[in-house]
Amino acid sequence: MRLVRSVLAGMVLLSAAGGARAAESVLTFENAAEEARYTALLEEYRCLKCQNQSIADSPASLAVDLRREIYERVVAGEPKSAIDEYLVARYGDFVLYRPRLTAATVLLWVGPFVLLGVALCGAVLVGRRSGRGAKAPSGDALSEARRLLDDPPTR
Amino acid sequence: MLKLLPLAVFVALALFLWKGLSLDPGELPSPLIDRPAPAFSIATLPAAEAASAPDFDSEAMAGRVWLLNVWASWCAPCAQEHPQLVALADTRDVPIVGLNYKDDPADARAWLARYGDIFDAVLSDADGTVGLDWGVYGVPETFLIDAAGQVRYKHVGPILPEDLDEKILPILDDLVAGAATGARDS
Repeated sequence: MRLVRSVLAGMVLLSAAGGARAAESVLTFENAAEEARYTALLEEYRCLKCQNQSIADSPASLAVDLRREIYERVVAGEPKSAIDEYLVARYGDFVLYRPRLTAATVLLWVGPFVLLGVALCGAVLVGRRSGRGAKAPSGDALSEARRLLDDPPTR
Repeated sequence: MLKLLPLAVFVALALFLWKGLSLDPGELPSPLIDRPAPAFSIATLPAAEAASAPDFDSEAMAGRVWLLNVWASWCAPCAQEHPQLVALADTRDVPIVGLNYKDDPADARAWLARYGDIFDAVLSDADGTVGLDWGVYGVPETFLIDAAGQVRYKHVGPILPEDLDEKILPILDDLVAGAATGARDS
């Protein structure tokens, strides 16, 4: 009974949250492709107010404003590059979840590969060094081992 | 030599993480720095309900060093930074323009009456469109604009007394001095 009640309470809360979002405004689109483009675009931008949410997810009023702005631009048929440009001019590269390759972001793009290269070099160096220390077993030791394998000493 | 590698990696990582502790991820560099300030023309806050309020054009500030402070009555840190703005207005002859961001005019007037209206102009950005152009993402925010109309500094969050003494005032004085020499040269 308790479980049922908490599940019900959860559902009420969820529907209330959905209602708040729906109350924002009902958007109309020319066609489904345009709507899909709008929805996909919202996922591409970071909300500056709550930085781990996209503009699509965030309930912050700034995100509401930016959704409206992006909606108007999508309906006007602006390409993604122009919308990127608009947002970056105001909020910097940080607003893009997939930052562009510029002088300022180059470290972000090539950094992981540089680190991987360094790690590989380190692994090779360490591997070589430990290989150098080991000696191949002598012929005597090998024949002794074979003899022991073929004819295990009984206890 | 190779034995020291793990230690070197550890030290490098520790330095980065240590630095990370003192960085504020909420504070983002503004792309507007050293770029022309976005122009706007917007209604000022009416002095009373239904009173007419003249429009304010950012053109009016051309050739002057000025400060744009984004604030709202619903913003608690704005009240916290206000004494610093009062101090600034008392000691410096620099126009302070207040952008009242997403606020109710009546609330804004009550707030000004309570904390003191030191603004040379209060602009009513009820729907946040001017804020959007300036890349405002958290209130309060403060911009310093030089005589050439370029944004030279942005402060996000409340201006604390040390921010005023260590950042805002030195930069402002530099800009004013620069504007004075610039005017003499030309």
